[in-house]
Amino acid sequence: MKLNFITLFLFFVFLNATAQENQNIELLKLTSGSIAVSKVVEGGSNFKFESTSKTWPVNFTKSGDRFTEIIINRSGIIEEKYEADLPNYPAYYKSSSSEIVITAIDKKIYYYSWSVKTGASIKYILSDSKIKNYNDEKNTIDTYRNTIKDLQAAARNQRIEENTALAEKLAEENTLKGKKIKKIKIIPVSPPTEIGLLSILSLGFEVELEDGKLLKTINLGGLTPYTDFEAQVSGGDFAGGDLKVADDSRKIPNDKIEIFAWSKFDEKKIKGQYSVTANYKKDINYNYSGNSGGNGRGYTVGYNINGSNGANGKSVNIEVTSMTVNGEKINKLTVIDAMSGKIFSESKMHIDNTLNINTAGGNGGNGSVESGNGGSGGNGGNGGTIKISGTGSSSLKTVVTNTGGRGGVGSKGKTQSFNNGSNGSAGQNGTLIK
Amino acid sequence: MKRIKIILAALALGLFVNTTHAQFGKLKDKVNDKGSGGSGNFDSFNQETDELGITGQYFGKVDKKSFGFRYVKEANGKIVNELHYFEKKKSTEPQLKLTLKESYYTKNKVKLFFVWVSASATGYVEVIEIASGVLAQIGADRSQNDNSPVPLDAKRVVKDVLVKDQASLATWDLETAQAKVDMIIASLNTEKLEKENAEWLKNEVYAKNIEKVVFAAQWYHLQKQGYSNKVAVNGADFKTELDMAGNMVFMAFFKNPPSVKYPGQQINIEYEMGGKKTSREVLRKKSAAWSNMVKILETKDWDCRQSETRSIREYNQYQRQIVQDYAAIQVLYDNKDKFKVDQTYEIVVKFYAHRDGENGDLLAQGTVKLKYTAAAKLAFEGDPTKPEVKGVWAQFESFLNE
Repeated sequence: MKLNFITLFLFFVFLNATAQENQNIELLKLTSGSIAVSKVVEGGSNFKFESTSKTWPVNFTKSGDRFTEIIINRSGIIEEKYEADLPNYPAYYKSSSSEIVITAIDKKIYYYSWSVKTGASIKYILSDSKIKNYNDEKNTIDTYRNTIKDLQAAARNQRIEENTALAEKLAEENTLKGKKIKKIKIIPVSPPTEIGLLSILSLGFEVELEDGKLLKTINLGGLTPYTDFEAQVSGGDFAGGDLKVADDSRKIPNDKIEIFAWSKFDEKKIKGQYSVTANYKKDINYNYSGNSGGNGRGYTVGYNINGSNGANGKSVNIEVTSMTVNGEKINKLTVIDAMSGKIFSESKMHIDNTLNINTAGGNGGNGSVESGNGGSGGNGGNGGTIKISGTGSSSLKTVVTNTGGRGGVGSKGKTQSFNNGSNGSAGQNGTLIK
Repeated sequence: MKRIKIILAALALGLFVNTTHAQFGKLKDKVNDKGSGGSGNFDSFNQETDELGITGQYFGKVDKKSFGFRYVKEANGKIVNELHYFEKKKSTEPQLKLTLKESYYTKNKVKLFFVWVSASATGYVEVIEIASGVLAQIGADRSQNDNSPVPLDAKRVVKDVLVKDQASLATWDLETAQAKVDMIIASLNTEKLEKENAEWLKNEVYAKNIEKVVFAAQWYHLQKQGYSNKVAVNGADFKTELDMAGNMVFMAFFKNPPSVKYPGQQINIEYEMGGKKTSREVLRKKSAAWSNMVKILETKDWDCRQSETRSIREYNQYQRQIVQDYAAIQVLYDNKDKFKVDQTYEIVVKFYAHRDGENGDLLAQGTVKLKYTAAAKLAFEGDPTKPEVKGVWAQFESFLNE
């Protein structure tokens, strides 16, 4: 019989030790008021608790059978508010401005941060009871958090379902699917000023339904997804509210960018239209530089210890034709590979803007270090020659980069018994002919 | 046994005494004029006045001796804004000269003085006035080479409290001082954040793309190497369409750094194409294989207004292998039967704050068209002329069958 009592006693002790109650139950064990504080003190990799000289006022806010908020008056001078993570079944109380969260277990209030990877990092324990060692207390809070997560499932799923239902209702209200469309307007988010190659214009769609309701895309403050629309663009490309102007003026017929958009669910294909003339007021950047050589990599399959040479920059001829487009003074640039005669690109740019062109040689790669013998640096590539000619060449503003690449740095042998690598030589600068 | 206990107690006491002196103490050892006259009282300092109201005799909470502090605005015809610290009565020269962080005072009325005795964290001394006649002496966890206070996100620990009126030590224990210091630093941080926001908004690329996800064919078109906390690209290479055979990389611009706005949370990335949707967190919870494949992203590592560059699929030059987000690949896989050569398909990418299995605020979203080119078909479905090389679908199916 005695054994039975002991067994029963141990069973209840076990139950008490392992039962994970939500915070609405745990906080019933506490009353608002000043509570003794133990602070975690770091000593190298060890942590221990030290009592602080002051108690901290703590207030629990209850609404019905739920504890909705905990207010801790830290050291009696800073009021910190914490709200329940899941009011129906809270595991902790969270702050809107810090990583600190609060959990009460068996009359101890844990003040800690939480990582899904490493668990709790306790800063303080507020309790009039005895505090155990740091590892035991951490284990208590880690076990609680990891266990109660499963117990929260019902309450969490309920909230997820509620949020999902709300999101679905909003999606249903804002989708174009099943809606009768009267008119679509395509509206720039802000009036475009610089419309040149590779400019990005933010465009939103406003849809007027037959019942008079207006639906808008997110960039106009609405919730209608861009993916409900199909678009046809001349002079660029469109996705996700951004119209990106083409990278070559040959792709912009009549120097005009135009977009038509319609609902992909609309059989009538009622279209919105927007067009804008290009003013080419945007700087142009061309990069025909040589690639840098790779660094040497010892003990790596497919590599050797020496850096490889940088490649030469390309030599290009640029024909500049002066013209007037949409009332603006424009230079038309045709960039031609000096070696093959192939046209790389054709662009237009306002005369107030600048062509940035880079035909620098690539840098040589550095020799490998820590690989026995030192690796030698690769040679830098030569800068390419740029020849600018044509009626607009005098008005063309340019920033040219055509320096030779740096030679790679030879590395030292691992020890004195190994050879040092030699430095690579620098490439020659390119020339500008105008 | 009793003797051992006494010895241990004595040792413990010795350690304690040593610890209490390891405040200004260690620095004193470095800066002191040896033998220049012992501690004393600095009553005479109380006769002086200064415009900051700091000069006077102070008493320590931990190091219980008295000390002198004198605010010096000018020296040798120059404004210096220094706080001179004296611990030896006979010494005319201060044992330490700390410098006022002027902008904190002019903008926030925060009186923060600092000095670096050495570049290591232990060589940093900071003093903040936390109430009239109350100074907190602070250590920090950062080493630094430039002559400025440790950054606001450094961990500051109050080592001692120094007061003019000894009676106020009953109010100002270390913990209370720490709470007040945390409050002062938090207010400075709020202002710093607002100032940084204004600075970032001056950048057109950022201003146009706040809360958006942008796409490119190369990671360095999104973010220049070494510029994780600065926009150093002009956006010309951001794409509205990407070839599925090539690199498909993206990056988000945030209104505020997620580490600041969403402390203690995770980041979830959701992909949606053709009505099919999934996310890293949904998949991570499916199986051990998925948990291993998809790493947890914590907001504490996202302390900038732009995310790290991420990829749907990308060839990593250095690793010489393809890097893919399998959550994105899952969505592509779910749509694979629809893909036709030279057609485009929109994919929507959304970044969420995430906690305990639930998405919170939407931090950024973007849409890009993916083009299923002939080369993409070979990459994804496999090249019949190279049967030894698995296509993306075959690789992914191998993973799903693990």
